Amino acid sequence: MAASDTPSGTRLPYDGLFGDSNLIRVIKQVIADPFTEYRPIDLEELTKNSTPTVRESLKVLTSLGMLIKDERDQQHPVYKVNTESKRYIALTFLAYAVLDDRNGTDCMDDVVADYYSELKGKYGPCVVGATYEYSQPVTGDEITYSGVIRNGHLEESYWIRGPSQDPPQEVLYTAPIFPADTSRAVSGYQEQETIAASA
Amino acid sequence: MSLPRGAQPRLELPDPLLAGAAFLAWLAKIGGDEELSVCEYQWKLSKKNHPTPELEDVDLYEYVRSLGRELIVKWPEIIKLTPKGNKWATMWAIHYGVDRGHHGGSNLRRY
Repeated sequence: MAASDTPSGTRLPYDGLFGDSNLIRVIKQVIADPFTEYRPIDLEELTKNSTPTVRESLKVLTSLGMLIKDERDQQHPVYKVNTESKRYIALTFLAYAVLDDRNGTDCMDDVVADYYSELKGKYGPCVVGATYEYSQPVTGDEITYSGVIRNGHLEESYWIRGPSQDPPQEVLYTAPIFPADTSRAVSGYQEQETIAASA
Repeated sequence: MSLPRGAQPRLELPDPLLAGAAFLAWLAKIGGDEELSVCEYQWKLSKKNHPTPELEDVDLYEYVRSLGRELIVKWPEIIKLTPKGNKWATMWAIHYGVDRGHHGGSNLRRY
């Protein structure tokens, strides 16, 4: 039996990264399914924990802001996952990371990319572009350059016509960039514009 | 190599449907495998939280069998996603918006 296995043959929460406490079993469940409004009995069934330990875990997670207690029915409160909690989001990524490390997959990357697609309005423009024309000084070709940063990808295209190109052709380059590189890419455009101006 | 402009990753069939995608996302995040009794409990929760008419009367065993052993396998007491199944399940979970709880709480933002 591997160190990350439980006696029943299934795995420890997060492959044993945080041990196998009652609390981490509850965390594993609420991270895996953030859509259920949990009654304590649900977590007893899903985690095989006893009633007192589930109640203690719910108390801890509520105090940490990862769960929200709904007491509209005071006799039977339910607990919702606070999906705005950063800890919730980070642990979701961790759940996929554990899977990826074990299987050599890239599920976390897909989920992070999906998360980033929600944030990109905050961290960078969706589309930034520049177009200009210039003459290549050596070949005498006329070149129309177009550069666009679109959703984290730099797309460059050159429409070339002139003595060295028969027939005229378009060349398209695409490369992923990160928001932090946006300024560098834009300064790259400016550098080429300088060349164009001097040509 | 990056995908062409505006392209979305291709989703591989079969379509697990909304409640199935939510259940499979749970199974992936719980570690990729889980005891049958726990899976059956979660299957009911996923169907309750994400009503899907096509799966209303489908039990877990029937559902798992319909997906194929290449993606998910049922041993006597355990249900397990294969590595290929993990990736497939994650792509569909993202498609249906059930890979994680989203801002605003809706799991139907893709529609």
